[in-house]
Amino acid sequence: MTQISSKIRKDFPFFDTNKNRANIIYFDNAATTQKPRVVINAVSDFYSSYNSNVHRGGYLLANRATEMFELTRELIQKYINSKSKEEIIFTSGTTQSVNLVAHSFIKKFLKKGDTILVSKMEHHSNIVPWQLACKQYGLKIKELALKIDGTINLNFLKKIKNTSIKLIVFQHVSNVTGAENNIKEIINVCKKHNIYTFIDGAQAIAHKKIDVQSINCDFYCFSGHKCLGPTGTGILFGKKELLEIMPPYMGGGEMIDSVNLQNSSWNKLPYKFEAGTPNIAGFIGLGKAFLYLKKIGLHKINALEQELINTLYKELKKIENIVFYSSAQGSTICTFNIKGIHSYDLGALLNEQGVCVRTGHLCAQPATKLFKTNSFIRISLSFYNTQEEIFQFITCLNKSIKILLK
Amino acid sequence: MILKKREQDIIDDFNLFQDWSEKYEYIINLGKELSPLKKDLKCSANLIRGCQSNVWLVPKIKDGKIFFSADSDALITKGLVALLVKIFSGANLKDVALFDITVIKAVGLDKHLSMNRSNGLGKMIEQIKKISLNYLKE
Repeated sequence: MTQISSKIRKDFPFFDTNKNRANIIYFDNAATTQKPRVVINAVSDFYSSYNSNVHRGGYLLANRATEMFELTRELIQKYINSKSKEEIIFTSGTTQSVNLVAHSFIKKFLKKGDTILVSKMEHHSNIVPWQLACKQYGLKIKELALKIDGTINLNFLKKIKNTSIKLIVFQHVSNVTGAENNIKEIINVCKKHNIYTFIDGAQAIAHKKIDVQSINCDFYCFSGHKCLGPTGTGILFGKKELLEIMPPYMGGGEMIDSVNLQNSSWNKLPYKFEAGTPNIAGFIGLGKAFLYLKKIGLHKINALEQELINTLYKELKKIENIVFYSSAQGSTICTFNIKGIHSYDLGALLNEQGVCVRTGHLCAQPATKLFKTNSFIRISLSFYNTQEEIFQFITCLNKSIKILLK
Repeated sequence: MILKKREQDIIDDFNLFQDWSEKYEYIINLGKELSPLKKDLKCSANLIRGCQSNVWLVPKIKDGKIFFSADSDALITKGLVALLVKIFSGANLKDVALFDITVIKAVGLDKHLSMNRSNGLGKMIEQIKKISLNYLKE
């Protein structure tokens, strides 16, 4: 495995040992991943050799840009097994995907007095847009009951009698604990109650197999930059029959069919939801990211990651007074605190030693309160991290603890 | 001027340090020297909220001078506010309100602890000057 890992690492210019970044230990992969050379080159190649706008010009360059841009849509459609390219909407990221549905879908499908179920484990991006929409459209937010590990309590869902509940929004994998919701079963129950389902897949896309037909969700979204792609790229999958009825989210170029001063008609899917010039270079890069993920293979990625996370837990468990909020099984996220030490202090001292970890409320304040703390330290690994990095990190962590407990 | 002198003392201390860990130990120890803040003073009125750690800063005026007591829930943040208290506490209101702090840059702390919202250092400095200015106007 170590050999595979060092071979993979060479695909990422960030880790190029010739640069001064050689001493950086990057353990914040849940925030954003590093990019393989194929992605960086694709972005650079677009700008340096065929930069032009998509879906407009009738000339060769623009056609090539359009082809490459649309190729990404096709790759992602196949990767998540959606029925058609029309169901793959390009957005700027998970946040925009949530906002799009929180406005456009709600406007058409929910009415005043209806309820949306949201859990306390959600990232702020999957709470705040719904709150804004609820205020605007007179809807209610109700709390989704959770199990002790922060995953959704199916028994609560099965007993739902409240017919005003029209939509449930939840994460596939938690950015706080890495715990995975059993989305297939949850959706099964929701379908029986005629509840629409929206899944935030931001923390799942780089690690889990996603098959939107098998899951049978109404919406699924994720960010490109969390799965090796450029920042400013995101995907919203939506069922075609819903997307067709939903009104546009933003107006502008690209999303129209015809325009006169009083009225316009809309372009077909998916362009109805893609107003303005998109992040062309970004999406061309994202296509390469998915090709790269496919080349390595999820099976190998999961095996490498599990091996890393096992070592991490084994070493962390040796540290006195450590409290874990995550578990070692099937997740790349490890969240903990050390009793008597503020996570900010640890993060600052780790930073001095070149270790990049996330500390604080992890953009999930309700979840932070759920675990009766103010902040966490989060390590999030990726298949390109190494065993050596983990041992080096443990040394840095012990040094930091020693300074803080003096 | 006393504030300049206090800054220089800190700069002199920092010049003795060989590596980053000594700087941090110094800052943490400054925090430990702060006298404890009474529980009822750790209220929202005295709170300076950072993104990750909280600081409570309590001013007191006596004979045209301003005195500060402070605390934080994180050791490094507490040390940083102690550093500011060490410089500003007991100085003339007017001096505090008008003083341009240079010590953070001079000792290279800006490179270590970005003046960001995670420790709220920028906000602390802003607050110290704002409080002093407000008292001056009264």
